[in-house]
Amino acid sequence: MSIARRSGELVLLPVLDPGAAAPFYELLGFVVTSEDHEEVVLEKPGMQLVLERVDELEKDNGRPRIEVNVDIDILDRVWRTDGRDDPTLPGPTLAPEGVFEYRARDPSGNRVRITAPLPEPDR
Amino acid sequence: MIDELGSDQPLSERLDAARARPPSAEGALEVALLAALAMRTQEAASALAGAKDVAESDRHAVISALAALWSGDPRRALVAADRAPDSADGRALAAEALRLDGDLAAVHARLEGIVEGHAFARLVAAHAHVVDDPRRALALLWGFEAGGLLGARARRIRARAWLALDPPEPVRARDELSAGVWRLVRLGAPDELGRAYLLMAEVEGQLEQGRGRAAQWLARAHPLLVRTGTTFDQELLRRAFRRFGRRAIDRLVDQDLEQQIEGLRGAGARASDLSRAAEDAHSGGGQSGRIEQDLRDALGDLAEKGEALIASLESALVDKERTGKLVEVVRGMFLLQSRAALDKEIPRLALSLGGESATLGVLRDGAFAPVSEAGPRPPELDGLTSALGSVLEEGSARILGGDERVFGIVPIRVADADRVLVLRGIGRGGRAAEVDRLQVLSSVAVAAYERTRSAEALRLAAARDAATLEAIRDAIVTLDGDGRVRAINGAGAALLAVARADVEGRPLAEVPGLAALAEAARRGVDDETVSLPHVDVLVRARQYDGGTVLTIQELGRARQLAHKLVGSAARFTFDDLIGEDPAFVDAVADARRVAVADVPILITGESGTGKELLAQAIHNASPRASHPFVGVNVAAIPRELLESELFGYESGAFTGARAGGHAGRFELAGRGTILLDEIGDMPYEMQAKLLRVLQERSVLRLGGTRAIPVHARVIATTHRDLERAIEDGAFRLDLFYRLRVVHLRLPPLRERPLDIPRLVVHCLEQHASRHERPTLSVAPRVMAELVRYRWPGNVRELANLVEGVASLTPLDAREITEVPRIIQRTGSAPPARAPAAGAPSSPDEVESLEDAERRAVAKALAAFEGNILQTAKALGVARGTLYRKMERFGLK
Repeated sequence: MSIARRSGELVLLPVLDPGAAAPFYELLGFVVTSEDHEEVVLEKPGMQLVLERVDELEKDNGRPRIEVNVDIDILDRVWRTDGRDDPTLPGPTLAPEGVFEYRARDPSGNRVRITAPLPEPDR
Repeated sequence: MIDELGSDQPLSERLDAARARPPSAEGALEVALLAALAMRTQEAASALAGAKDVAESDRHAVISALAALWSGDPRRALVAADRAPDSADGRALAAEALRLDGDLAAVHARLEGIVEGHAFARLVAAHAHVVDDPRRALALLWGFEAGGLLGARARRIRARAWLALDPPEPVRARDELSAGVWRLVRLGAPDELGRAYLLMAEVEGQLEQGRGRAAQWLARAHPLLVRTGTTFDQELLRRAFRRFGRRAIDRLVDQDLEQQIEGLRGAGARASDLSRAAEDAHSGGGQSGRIEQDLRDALGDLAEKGEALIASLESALVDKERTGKLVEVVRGMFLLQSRAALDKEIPRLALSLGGESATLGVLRDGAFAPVSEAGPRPPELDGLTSALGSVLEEGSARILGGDERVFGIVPIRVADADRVLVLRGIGRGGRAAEVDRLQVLSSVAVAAYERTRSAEALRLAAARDAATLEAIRDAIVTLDGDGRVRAINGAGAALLAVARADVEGRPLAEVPGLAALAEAARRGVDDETVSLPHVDVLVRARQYDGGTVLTIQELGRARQLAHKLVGSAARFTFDDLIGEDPAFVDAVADARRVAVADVPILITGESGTGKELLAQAIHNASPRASHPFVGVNVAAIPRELLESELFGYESGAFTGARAGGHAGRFELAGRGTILLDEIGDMPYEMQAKLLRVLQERSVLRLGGTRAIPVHARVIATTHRDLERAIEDGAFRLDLFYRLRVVHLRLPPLRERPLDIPRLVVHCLEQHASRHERPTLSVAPRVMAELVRYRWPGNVRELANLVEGVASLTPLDAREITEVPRIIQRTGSAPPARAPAAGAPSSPDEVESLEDAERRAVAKALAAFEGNILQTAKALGVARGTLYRKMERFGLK
């Protein structure tokens, strides 16, 4: 399947190698619930993600994009894993509404928009 | 020290590591430094006191200075920093202390010679320039690269510099802060984070779209700075609150006054210049006539501007006073809850705006009829009737009369009856402004009357809704958009075991024990079972504009509905299982034992051996007996409908799907038992789905996205030889193992001939009981034939045959003396020859063409190890045909 079908919180995502893509999504807080050669099913509260094996991915603009909301610690882990933790580089973009945003790509090159709200200070 | 400020490791982690090290003076200093940076002021002070051995060292002095600075005490910081006059760290910190104290000249002196090579000194230098020379501040930080607190502070200083430019560049300031905030959040430096948020508020305040967001950033800054900020930070915070919280009108008034003050200042400066010029000219013996004239003009201008400013100030003060009074009246009106109260109180409230008396009345039959008044009633009222009429008609406030007899007339046009308020003695001076004020009063009074009218209508509607809710037997809970309980009916309070007063107005998620219900409401569930601590309920959530209505049924009631829907209930118990044949007795004994164990059971046996009856008996002997028993005959449901029958479907899942969706049998079974009758006939592709449900203990409705938990116990039955079906590729091995945790085999009746007479007698007794006639006996010859008969239809056949024979026996007969015809025809002897190999032993075992085809394809695929070309060749079909068949049969 070349186009991601999204219905509610179920996302079907075509990838070249589900097994190789799964750790990236595990980093985002998903937990693998089943896997075989053809697909890996992962879940996090409120969202189910099915990584489906395809032989070939569509060109970039035809590829699905997904958005995952995480807490700031997870975003930090992704940020560091992406090797972006150079102190001189700016951090993930902070939107005026107080939400950090980072656009990453999974191992198959699918675009993933990761957002994390600013932590609430202890009052 | 500077290395410590440039680290990106979270402060709390570093502090924990420092605390864990063996005690030493140097270690205490490190703890002091990190505690100070993490705003743990007390811990920093204790650690510094504990480092007595190195109290004279530069490092002790520097860390003491830093701790004092971070706690907001620049004077103490300066004293400490001066204990290390030769240390660059000490000088940089002393400069920062001086900067905070406002002595900028001294700052630069302290920093001389160290700015280039010392990151913190560079920051202090830039900070010192940020207001008076922001470009220089930016130039000083050009190429500044550091992590940790140093990097974050550099970004904050740059952001402030961008804002201080003329014109300011808030977008660039925001970019700087965005990057700094990320770093500070990771570091866990609450004071710096609070300052960054505060500055972000200022940035947003300068952006056209950002004013609303400014308040949000202030709200974020507030708790941080109140807790960890210095006195100076808190003063900045207060200023920011005043700035963003002030009314727009106040800003306009202030701007106007500021302009006038500037004008006065300019005129004064010009007069001063001219005065000095005149003196110079006078002492130099030059011509001063022209200058003196200019000076006189300038003084005149100065006096004029001064007068204008005084008038503006007076006007602003008067306006503020009047506006303040009007605000009080408005506030007072909106505290009144009924029309009667408004009628009574409006004159009293209005009189506080000024004047001698206030009278509220209505125009009735061409005359003014007072309703209420404050102060003496004006004798001129009768003469005003026509003017009052025209004011009411126009709907605009008006001031009538001259200097001595001034009346303010305020129309109040409301639905039940128009009213007029007459204020005597109001409006002397500033007539136009007074009319405006009375017009405001008119609008506010109308709004107050309308509000009370609406409130009364709402009260009535609420009373009606409450009565409607109470009339409903199901439990109903309504929630607002924030998930707070707006209303709950009596049935709801009883079912959920809560007191209404305890839950109304409270978020449902915060009511103890009801979090699962709140979650179901959030997801908008449709007939989903929710387990609450004291009861299992079936919940349906319907969203409406502004909230959610929950309809909740106790599962017990829902179970009755389930029985009605699926037409199935467990009636039989182990007492209904008749037989003493050892194989049968063993099977029943095993069934009794496993009834209490919560494991899947597979019951096999020929048709009619009593598989479903045994399943019902197991259910009724199990702890699930009070829950539903839902049977599904897999063989009887068309292949296309099986999935939706078992798992349910959502609204719009397919053409013809019922609006609102439909719960599947697994859901209906709840915490009871689901009987999958004739599982051996389940289509292969469905088997995979069933396996998934059994493994994950949850179902996904067709067209749905939400997993619904499965709590039901599964009992499966079949007359087929499943092991053979597995070999033939028609049944999944993994599903077989999942179902056959316990395997009960019911023997065919021909293998338990000793039980036949007992069963015959039992059936005759039941017949007699049903038809209220004496129990028939069976002639020994006939019984012998019955025992010899093969009973291909097993107990079911026996029961039907006995029922038929008994019904045909004359009412006066006491004994069955004739061998039933079917037995005569078929003969009771064993068949003359065994069926051909592979041939079905009974009509029930005849295989459908489709099953045979699936088996053939599966077998061929296995034989050729999945090679499509060879398989297709062997089967004598084209490759495309083979692919289509594989897809149809769910084969890979």
